Amino acid sequence: MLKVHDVSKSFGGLLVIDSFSMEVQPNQIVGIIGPNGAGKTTLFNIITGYLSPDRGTVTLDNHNITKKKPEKINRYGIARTFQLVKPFANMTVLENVMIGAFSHTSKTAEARRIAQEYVELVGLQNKANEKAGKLSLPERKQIELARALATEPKYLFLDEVFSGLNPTEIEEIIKLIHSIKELKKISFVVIEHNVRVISGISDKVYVLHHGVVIAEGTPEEVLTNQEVVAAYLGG
Amino acid sequence: MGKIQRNVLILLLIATIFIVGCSNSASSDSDSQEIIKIGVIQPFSGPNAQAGEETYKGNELAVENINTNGGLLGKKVKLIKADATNAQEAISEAERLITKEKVDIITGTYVSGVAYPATQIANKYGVLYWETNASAPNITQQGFNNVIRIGQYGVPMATVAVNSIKDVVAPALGKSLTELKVVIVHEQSIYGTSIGEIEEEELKKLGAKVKRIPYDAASADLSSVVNLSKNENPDIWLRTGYVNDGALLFKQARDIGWKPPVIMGQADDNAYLLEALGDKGMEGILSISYPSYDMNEKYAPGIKDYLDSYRNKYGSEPKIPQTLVSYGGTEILFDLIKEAKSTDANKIREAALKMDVKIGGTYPTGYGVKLDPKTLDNTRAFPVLTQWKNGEIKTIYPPEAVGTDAKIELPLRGW
Amino acid sequence: MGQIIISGILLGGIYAIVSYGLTLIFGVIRVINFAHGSLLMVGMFMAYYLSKGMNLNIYLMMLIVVPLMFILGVLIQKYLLSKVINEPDMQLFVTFGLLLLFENVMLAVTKGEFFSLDMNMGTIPIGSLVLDWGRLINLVAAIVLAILLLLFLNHTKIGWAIRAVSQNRYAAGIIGLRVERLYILAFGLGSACIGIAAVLLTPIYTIFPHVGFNFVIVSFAVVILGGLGSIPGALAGGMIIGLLESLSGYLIAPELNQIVWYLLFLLVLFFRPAGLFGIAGSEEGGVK
Ligand SMILES: Nc1ncnc2c1ncn2[C@@H]1O[C@H](COP(=O)(O)OP(=O)(O)O)[C@@H](O)[C@H]1O
Ligand SMILES: [Mg+2]
Repeated sequence: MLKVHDVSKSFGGLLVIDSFSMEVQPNQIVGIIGPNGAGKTTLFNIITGYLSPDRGTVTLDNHNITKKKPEKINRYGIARTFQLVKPFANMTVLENVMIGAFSHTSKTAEARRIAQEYVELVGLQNKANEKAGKLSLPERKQIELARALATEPKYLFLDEVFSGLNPTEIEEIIKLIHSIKELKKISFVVIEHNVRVISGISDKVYVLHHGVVIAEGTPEEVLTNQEVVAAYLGG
Repeated sequence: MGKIQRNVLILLLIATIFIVGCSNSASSDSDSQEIIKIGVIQPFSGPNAQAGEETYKGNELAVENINTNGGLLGKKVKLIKADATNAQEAISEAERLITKEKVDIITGTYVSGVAYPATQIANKYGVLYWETNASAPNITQQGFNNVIRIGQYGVPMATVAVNSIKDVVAPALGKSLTELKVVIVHEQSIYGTSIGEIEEEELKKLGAKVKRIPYDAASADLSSVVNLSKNENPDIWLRTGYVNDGALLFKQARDIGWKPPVIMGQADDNAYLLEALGDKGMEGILSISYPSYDMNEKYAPGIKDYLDSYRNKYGSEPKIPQTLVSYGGTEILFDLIKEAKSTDANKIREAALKMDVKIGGTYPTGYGVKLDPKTLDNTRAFPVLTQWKNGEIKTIYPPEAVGTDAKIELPLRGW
Repeated sequence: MGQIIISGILLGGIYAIVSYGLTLIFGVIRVINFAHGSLLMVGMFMAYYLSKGMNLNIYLMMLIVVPLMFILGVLIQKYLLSKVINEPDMQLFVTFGLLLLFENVMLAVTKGEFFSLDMNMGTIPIGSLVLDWGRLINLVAAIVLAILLLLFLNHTKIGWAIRAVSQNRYAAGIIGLRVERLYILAFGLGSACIGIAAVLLTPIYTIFPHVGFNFVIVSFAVVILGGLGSIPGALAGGMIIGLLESLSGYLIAPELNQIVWYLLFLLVLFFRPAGLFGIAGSEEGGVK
């Protein structure tokens, strides 16, 4: 179980995350919603080791992983994608995913085999040998997903994977997440601000507003919460 | 950034500042009317520290000499060292010498870039700046009437190059001046350009065919200079530049197997070039040089005494010719102070303008004295022509200066 | 004219070999390494003094100089730069401090004197054209080193990791790459490459504390032209600049020999910052 306990973070006096706590169970999908600037990405950066919290802890199956470096955190079984996609632009799709696979093998052939599997899983097999920098935004998001998956995480954090995609593409990624969840038995933490999308896939939802959790629970509970409706859904 | 890192950085900085700035600061004595104080501005630290120190030894020997012979105007002479490696230090050290040390005269300077700002401070206070060594043209082009350059600079250096070509080089090649083809190559800053342009103009006046090629001394490759020169098939390759570009130029000529009949350079009589090209590579190369230690005693009276006192005091042979130049320049200053009966800049200038000493026969540098009334440059500070022979420098021109049985040998044969 | 092209290619080999170290360091760690030229200078002095001291052939000194330079690079990254890894301004400060330190120490040691190896290795005539051994050996070494580096970068796990980190260090961390260690390795490798260059250039140039300065701007130009972190790019960039310099020196004027490539460098910097051979838009963003 991944546990975030009482985490706070401010940037130059501005409190961006205020006493945030959450729990993610194995094989669960957790959604985090909130308007732009709510602090969602900052939260991901803290959990995945890119930022240190001012206060609070992050634990994974009783290991304290607070303030560990990203590569260490990855070894505990956490991976992520980025809101602003960061593929290795000068490498091919397959090579991008191979780098992920190298986290648990040092043989190039083995890494290639694993990478091929994930490239197929996200449906990029036809573009496997193209340079990542040349692909479209949805395709680059798929590369990031495959690359993160290739590290074989137990918890996968997806930062706005749906933004900029059309409804059919969103549908496909939702299907993909569900099938990966069944296949690999991993948990997802998904940032999204489209309420319909998030309630469609999440087992549990946290609503973040100015760094504070204003509601949590099942999608149904959260969407009927008066405060959420007032503050976020615009009344 | 953590504390440790900050400390490391501070340490680094301190180390740097220490190394850059470890200067021998001069101590100040009680003011006395019984001494004449002369401030000496030289780079006593940094890249030119050794050269600055060696140049200073010339002043030191001249002062010792005068003090043991009764001093000047009945007073002892005292030198005060000031360390300057760049313009800022030159300004603050010149200020210190004048306002704190109350020197009567300032002299220097191995580095032209130090002399230039220092002369401006001396001018502000009307103190005489007696330049024995720096050769940059701009130092005496400021219209100052308190800055006298007694040592050699571009015009006499170019003049001797041209005169020696006319008097000994062309005859040794068996060619008349109108048959001569000269390629002048020079680094493109004011140093190389000012000399290269005079050489071009004067050689053309004599009827020689001339091509001039400027180049960048910081260039990692000078093959285009070499190839362009070779295309002209010159009789004489005349060069003005620094050490590292000189070594590269000669090596790249060697690399394409080209050696013209004559190579002549400004100050190419240094040991660094010898190390780069070896005895065989440098053999026969001519150089317009500072007065050399093998000069004839009649041309350079006192040179033997100078050499003896240098060996006695410092226990070695002189390392660079600039020591002799500052020694000879300081002797001229002392003669003028006696003549003017004063250390006042105006009185010394008046005396200096009247001075008329022919080249050779008076001072241990062989220099004559005749100031250009406009710039106060000494137009008779004539260098000599030397030639490399078996890894040694031999003076071969002017004939009166030659102190050995060395004769010019041309054309050059292979690298 | 043939001789000019030969000179250009040989010069290209020199510019390429001094750039590999920079493209590794600049390309991977993204720190503007002001100390690049002074590291080259330090390597040249090491090679010179060792070769003179032991009276052995200069090229043998690679066996000593390269490991020493590797260690020096590792120490610089591990104990200085990695302490300020997220502070680009401080990194500049550190590399600039190193430049001052190296140059001033060497100035203090050498008292501003010049040093050269008198190695007249002779020339190889090809018809009416001539090549010199020093530059030819350097050119061959530049090509061989490029091939070795490429094999290393493309066919080993560490090589892959270095390439990945150079393209996006933020993405590299959370897929398990040990970014700081890779940086240390990259600086070490880069410095080792500078060591190789230093040994090869020692017979060609006169050595003095500012000798590296002659190669700094040009190696930054080569690296920008060829694309950050690209070894084939550095080889091609070195050749382009070498040929441009040689041709413009001969056809326009020696004093303007660097103007043409400098203009090209500025154009590339402004209009194709990923380099002539890099993929546009491959520069990384921050953590978002
Ligand atoms: N590195 C940073 N330095 C300063 N402010 C930051 C930094 N990262 C994020 N912020 C600020 O923190 C707030 C939350 O940002 P972010 O976590 O990106 O929001 P979200 O992902 O919910 O849109 C914003 O006001 C943003 O400007
Ligand atoms: Mg965000």
